[in-house]
Amino acid sequence: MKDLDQGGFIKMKIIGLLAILVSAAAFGYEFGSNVPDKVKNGVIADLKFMNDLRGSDTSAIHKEIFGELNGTNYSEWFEKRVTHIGLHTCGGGGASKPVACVIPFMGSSKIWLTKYYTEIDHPQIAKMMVVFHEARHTEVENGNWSHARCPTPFKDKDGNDMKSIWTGAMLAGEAACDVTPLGSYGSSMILVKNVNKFCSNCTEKVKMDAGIYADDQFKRIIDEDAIAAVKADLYNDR
Amino acid sequence: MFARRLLFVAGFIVLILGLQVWRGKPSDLGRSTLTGSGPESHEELASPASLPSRSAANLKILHDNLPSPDKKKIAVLEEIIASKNDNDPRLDSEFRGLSPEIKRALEGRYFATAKEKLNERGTVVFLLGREAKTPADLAFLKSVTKERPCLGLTDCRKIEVAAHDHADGHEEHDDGINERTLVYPQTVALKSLERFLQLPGADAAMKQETVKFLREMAHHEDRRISLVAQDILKRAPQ
Repeated sequence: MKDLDQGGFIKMKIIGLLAILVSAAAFGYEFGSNVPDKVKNGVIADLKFMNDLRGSDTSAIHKEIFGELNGTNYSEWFEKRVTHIGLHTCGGGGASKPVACVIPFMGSSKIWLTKYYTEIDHPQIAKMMVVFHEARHTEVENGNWSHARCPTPFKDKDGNDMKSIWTGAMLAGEAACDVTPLGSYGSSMILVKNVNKFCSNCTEKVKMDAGIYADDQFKRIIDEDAIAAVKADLYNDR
Repeated sequence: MFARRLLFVAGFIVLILGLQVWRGKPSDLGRSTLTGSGPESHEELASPASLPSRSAANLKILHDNLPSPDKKKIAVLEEIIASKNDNDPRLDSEFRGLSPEIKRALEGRYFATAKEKLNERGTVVFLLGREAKTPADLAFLKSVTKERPCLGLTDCRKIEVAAHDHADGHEEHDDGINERTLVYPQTVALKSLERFLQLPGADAAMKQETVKFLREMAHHEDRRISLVAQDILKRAPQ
């Protein structure tokens, strides 16, 4: 009887181990060993939210980058690029508040989340915009889609300096802009703007949030041709 | 005789202080917000009827007086908020045709929520804003719009500023969502006012008042707010 119990215990251990291996294999990525379960479950839930999205239409640039607006495409796209999700400060501190980052010398297919992702109460689609932004940065073959320096001076359409309003830090001269709609800012805002316009199973809140955050991020694209391309792709009703 | 007078004065002071506590003191706008706070001033509210409760006790009374279908709605909302799933379809199915009583209870819920819970607060504003029809509903949205923006993501009282350090290469990278999230409730309130302007059959005088308010907000000192108001006015039906 005692042997049977021991055998049963070992069997249970094996089954448990298999369950962990299968669940890890279910994603194309793994979590860092220091990622608490609560954070891990939150990220898995956020990525499932993306996986469940469906769309009635898709813009041309979105098709070029992600295919049709369909959560399965997003999951495949993400898992082809990201092998590891860990926690890091991403060089944050002082005026810098990165939400996530890729640190190429620590592994170009690894993305790192900061406390500004895990602890702050952002709308879910905004967090995903950041995660897909970082996933784009993992593409070594495209030079990690490095950002362009924002122009000096960097003005908005009303002639005001573009700056981080709560820190007052000017964006002029910072590597915080893109000159193509295909880069990290462009691709993630194209994704989110498509959700705003075409998601067929999103709540009204998700669609509203998607519009708010995509429109903000569009301001980081500075090249005239790139701006015109995004406008033609998604803002042609304005 | 003197002791009796002293006792009388002391009793009077205790009575005044007790009344202050019972009525709820005007909020300290910079206070961190484990217990939340009320709108910035009485003047911002159109009518005393729209004055949200300021204490947990009053919030409980508002909740206890709700009919049971409304209590169920509140329970559903708490469940959705706890799940952090912005795409819960019940956000669209369960919160239509809200009664004035549940609206006031939700306003109380908003002011009782920690200011750092920005998505949570914005979600409540969204639900109320989608149902905004009366002067009291609009007064709530205006009071949210005029709230002082949250200064820091982890503590709304503090601007997270330090020396601007370019060495880490992550300056301003990917932290644009933080700035929008800091004014997320205000942004949702503005979007809700835009929705009201598009509402067919809404009272013309109330629409006019709303446009007047948006014009005022278009000159708001915080550009995250003024630019949204300006964009809404550009799209507003003339």
